[in-house]
Amino acid sequence: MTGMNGSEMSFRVDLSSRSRNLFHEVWVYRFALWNLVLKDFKIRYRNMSLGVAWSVLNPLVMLGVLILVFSYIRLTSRPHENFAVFLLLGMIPLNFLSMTLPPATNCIIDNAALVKKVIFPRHILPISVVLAQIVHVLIQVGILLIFLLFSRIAPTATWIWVPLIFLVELGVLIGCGMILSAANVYYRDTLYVVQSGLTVLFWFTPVIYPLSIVKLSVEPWLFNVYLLNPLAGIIDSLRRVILYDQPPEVLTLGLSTVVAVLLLGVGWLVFSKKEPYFADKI
Amino acid sequence: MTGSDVSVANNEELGDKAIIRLDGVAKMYRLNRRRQFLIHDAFRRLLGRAGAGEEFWALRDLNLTIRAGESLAIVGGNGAGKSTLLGLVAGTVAPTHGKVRVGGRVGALLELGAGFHPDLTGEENIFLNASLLGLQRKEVEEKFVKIVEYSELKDFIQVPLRNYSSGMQVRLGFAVAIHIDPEILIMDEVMAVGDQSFQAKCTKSIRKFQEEGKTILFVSHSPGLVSMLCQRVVWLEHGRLKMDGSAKDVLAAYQQ
Repeated sequence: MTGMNGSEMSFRVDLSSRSRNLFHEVWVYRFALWNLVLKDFKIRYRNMSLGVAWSVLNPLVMLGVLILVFSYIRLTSRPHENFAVFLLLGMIPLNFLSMTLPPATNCIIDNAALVKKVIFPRHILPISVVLAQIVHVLIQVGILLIFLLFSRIAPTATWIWVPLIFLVELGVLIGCGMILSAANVYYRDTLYVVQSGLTVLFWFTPVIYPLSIVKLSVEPWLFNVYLLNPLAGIIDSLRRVILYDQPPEVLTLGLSTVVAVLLLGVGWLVFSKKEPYFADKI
Repeated sequence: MTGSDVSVANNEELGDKAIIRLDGVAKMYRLNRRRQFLIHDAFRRLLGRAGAGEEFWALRDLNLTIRAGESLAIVGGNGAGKSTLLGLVAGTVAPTHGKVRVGGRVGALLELGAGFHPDLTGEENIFLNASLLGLQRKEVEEKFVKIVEYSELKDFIQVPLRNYSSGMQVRLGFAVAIHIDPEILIMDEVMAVGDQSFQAKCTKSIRKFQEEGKTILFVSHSPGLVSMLCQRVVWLEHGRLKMDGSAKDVLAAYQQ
C-alpha cells in the first residue's frame, strides 16, 4: 500500500467518489474529451463517399432555395441588399444548434456500453458532441467568408465580437446538451420533442427576417419574450457586427448571455445529479 | 441519494491496510414493466405515486473489507450480484444504501473493449480507450508501443476494429487495461476469451501484479483459475454473502 499521500489522492480522480470536484475531473479527462471529439468526427465521415463536403453542400442547398424563393416572392423589400450574407449570418448559428442538439440528446444512449462499463466523468459526452460540430461551423464560416469577399466586405476591428458571440452560443449548446441528454435517459421521447422543437424554432428565430421587424410588429413585452430565444440576440449581434460594422446591442446580447449562463448552470446541476443513475436506466 | 455514499478514503478511515471497504451496501433496481411517459409520469409524481415498478435487490446488507495486496475472487450463480459488486467498487454503479470506500486507483475491466468503436482502427481505439481510463496524452504516447507489443497485433493496428476477431479485440482490451497501471484491478470474466497462449500471458501479468502488492478483485466461473490465482473467495447467492473464506474452503462448499 504505497503512495497514499495527499498529492496522489488528488490525482486519483478516476475513482468512484461522488463527493468530488467535477470541474477538476473534466479537466483531467480533457484528452479523453479530445479523443471523443475525434471519434465523432471520424466515424461520421469514414463511411461516406462525399465526407466533409456534406457540411458545405447542406447550407448551400438551403441558401440556394431561400434565395430562389425570395427572388420570386417579394412580400416586402428585402431586409438587406446583401441577402445571401444576411441569410448566412442567420443560418450558421441556427445550423450549429440544429446539428448539435439531436446527437447531444442521444449521446448517453449512443454510448451505453461506455456509460455502463467504463468509469469517467460522463459530462464529457455531451460536451464532446457539441465541440465536434465546431468543424462544421468553421466550414460554413468559410462559405460566409467567400460571400463576404465577393461582396467586398472587409474585416474591421468590430469583428472581434464574432468569436465572443459564438462563445455565447457554445454555452447555450453545452447547457442544453447536458439537460437534454440527461432527460433522454429517463424519457426517450425527448429526442422527438427536440426534433419538433427545431422545426418550430426556425420560425421564432430571425433567420429569414431581421430582428427589427419583430420589434416593430409586436408589443414590447412580447418582444422581450421573443428575445429569450438566445439565438435572436446571437444572430442580431452577428448581423450588426458584419453587415453594419456596429457593436452588438448591449441588452440583446446581454440577455442571450444571461440565458446561456443559466442553461449552463442548470445543465451542469441536473446532469451531475442524475449522472450516477444513468447506468441503471440504459 | 439518502444514506448512500461512495468516497475516496484514506488509510485511517479504512482501517488497518484495507483498500476497499463496503459497509451495509445494498443495490436495488426498479424493474419497469411499463414504459414511462413524460406527461403521465409527471402527473404521477405530482400525486406522489411515482416510484412504482417492481423492486429487485441485486445486493443486500453486504459488508466486505479487502486488504491491500489481497486477491479475491467472487463466485456465485447467475444473478447472484457478482457484476453489481464489481460495478460498485469500480464506480459505475451507485449504491442504494450503505457506503463504498475505495483507497486506490481502480483499473476496471468490466467488459473488454467497452470503449472500442468498430469503425476506428486499433491505434485510434488504443488512444480512445486509454484516455477514457484516465491517461493523459503523454502517458498514452509513452505506453503505446508497449501496448501494441503486448497485444501482438502490430500488423493489424491500422485496421478498423470491425475486422478483428473477438479474440483479437480481447487482446487489445487487456493490453490497454494492464498498462494503465492500477492499484486495484477489477475483472469480470474477461479471461474466458482469448486463446491458450494469450491466457497464459494474462495469468503471468496478473501474477506480476500480485507480486507488486496490488489488489485484484475478479469474477470467474472457472474454479481452476480461481484456486490458482486467489487465496480468498467470496460466494454470493441471491444478492447476499453466503460464504467468505479461503479459496479451498469456499470452492469446496460451492462446488457441492
